[in-house]
Amino acid sequence: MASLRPGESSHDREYNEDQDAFLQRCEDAYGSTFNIILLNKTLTVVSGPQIREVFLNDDGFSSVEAFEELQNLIAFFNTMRKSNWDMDHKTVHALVKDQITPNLTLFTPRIVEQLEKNLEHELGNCPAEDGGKLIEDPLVPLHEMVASASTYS
Amino acid sequence: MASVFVGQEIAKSRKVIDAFINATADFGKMLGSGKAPRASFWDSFLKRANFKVLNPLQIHIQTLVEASSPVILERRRQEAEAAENGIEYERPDDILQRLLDSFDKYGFIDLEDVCGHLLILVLASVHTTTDAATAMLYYMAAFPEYMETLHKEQQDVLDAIQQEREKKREELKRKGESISEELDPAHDRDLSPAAIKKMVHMDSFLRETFRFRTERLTHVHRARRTETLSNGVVIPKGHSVIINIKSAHQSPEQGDEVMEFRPWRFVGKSKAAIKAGADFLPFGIGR
Repeated sequence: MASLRPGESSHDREYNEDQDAFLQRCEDAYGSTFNIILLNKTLTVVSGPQIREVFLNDDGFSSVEAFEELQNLIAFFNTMRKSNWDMDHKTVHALVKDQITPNLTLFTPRIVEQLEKNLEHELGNCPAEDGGKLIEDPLVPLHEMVASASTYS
Repeated sequence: MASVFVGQEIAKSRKVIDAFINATADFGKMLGSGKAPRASFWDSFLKRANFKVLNPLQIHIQTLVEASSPVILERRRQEAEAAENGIEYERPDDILQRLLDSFDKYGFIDLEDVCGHLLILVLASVHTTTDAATAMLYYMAAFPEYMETLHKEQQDVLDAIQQEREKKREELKRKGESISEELDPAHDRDLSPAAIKKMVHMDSFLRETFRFRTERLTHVHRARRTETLSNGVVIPKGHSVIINIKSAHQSPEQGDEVMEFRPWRFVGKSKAAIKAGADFLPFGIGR
């Protein structure tokens, strides 16, 4: 277990202050695999070549289960759907793989066309010579642009 | 997104668009309510209890069902009519139609169920796309010196495509053949998938944005059984591991100055922004 700073019960603060410095300190002291306390949990940090072993070992490691422990989302998803109550969201993965990914070339031109329209609506013509247009929080108009697709057509 | 998901007709409804946007926000409220609470125990408990019973997304599902029912009935009618007249029915090209067509394959129960699944797909796509686009704009604003290269590349690629199409048109004219709709000059400067693929600098910029900004520790995994890693470390069942993204994204394999933002890092390196791998983990390792 990586040592704690005096007076602290977890590494959250040290990690959030400077992620790189914290990881460097741990790596120098303990090598590439070590335990830390984050989010009220003891976690083992896995680096370099071992990353592949975690990602590619579906039977051994589950990101959904870990996520569930932190976020408790399965109940939430299951109240949205009436079938396919499956912890690993296999159907959702299959839907993306079978229905969306193969059709991206079909969807892209439509998305681009719509985005151009939405961009026109959100920004309009604002040449730099005239001072342009300041958007303080780009997330809001972008969200609108991405989600909507034909409201302004 | 909406027109791709549910088709032009349903996406015309402002309610549907709002459902798409608000679903993501409502989903955000749900986060952070697990058994390892970051907030107080009661806050987390109440949230959990509340969302199981009163899922805020139900209302968005209802909106989708209400908006799509008449359209689906109309599509069915058209399909039946086409079958009667022996014409092949031209299927609408949207994801809702695809889900309905594979209703039995996925074992859906009813339209509400289909709309629920659709909304899960929306959650997964709207937020991530917005987030990535915002990040890219942020880095463009932070490093305006790279903008000219990006803009020039886009213009060059589109110019090249336009010239190519012009040549084709002239050739067809010489042969006296008619120009097909595909070669319509109005579409000469479209941002087609093929055009986007040629913009290597933009792709590199995007990949570098992901490489640079991804949190150093992410992708928590829980051991389903006791596992031993190849370096001898034993992870007991039920214990969680977290991936050190820094060891991949900031490793010397990424080139020079790995701690700096270098947008042309991947130009000419056959490393596309959508190609996940052990050296590029924002979306996991990909398969």
